[in-house]
Amino acid sequence: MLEGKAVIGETDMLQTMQQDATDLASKALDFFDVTEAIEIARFIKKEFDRMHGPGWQCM
Amino acid sequence: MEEAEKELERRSKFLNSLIQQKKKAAIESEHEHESSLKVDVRACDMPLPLQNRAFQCARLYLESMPPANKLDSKRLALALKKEFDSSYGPAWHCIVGTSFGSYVTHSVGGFLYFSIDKVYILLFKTAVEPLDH
Repeated sequence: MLEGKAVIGETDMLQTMQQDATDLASKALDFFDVTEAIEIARFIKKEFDRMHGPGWQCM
Repeated sequence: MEEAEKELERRSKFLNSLIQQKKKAAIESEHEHESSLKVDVRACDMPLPLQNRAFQCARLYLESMPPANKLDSKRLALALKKEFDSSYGPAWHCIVGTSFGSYVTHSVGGFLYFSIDKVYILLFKTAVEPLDH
């Protein structure tokens, strides 16, 4: 598991969803190299679509 | 009388040549500027008129920016988003930067990813669902 604390810049999201987002980001960085930005974005977006319904975007 | 006519003709030719030179210089500088703001479409699902509108809007913003100033990505994104929301209806999203990855769901005919003068711009549309009350 990636060490380091996630810093939330701005948010309008339930605390539980925020936790999901930071957990998934951490997981994505375990799976992919930090330079593989599109793969990381794809992973987080797909997981959020699955967990919280379709229509999520990730950059 | 003949001398005066000759003088007028000479002046007229001189003025014409000045005008031509000025026109030529203007065209050259325009081409120079255009080449310095080269648009490169990376990925696209958007009609040509909308693409051109996006390029035009981005160009206008970048041209109006003083050369010494650092690019304000947020303001360019806002300008493009507002322009497309008002012209083609909600909801458009715009991301501007020099280094980012993305993965998005977009409406049909509402996706454009392009670069202009080392700046990368992602512009896409999503369907708007009314909130359930």
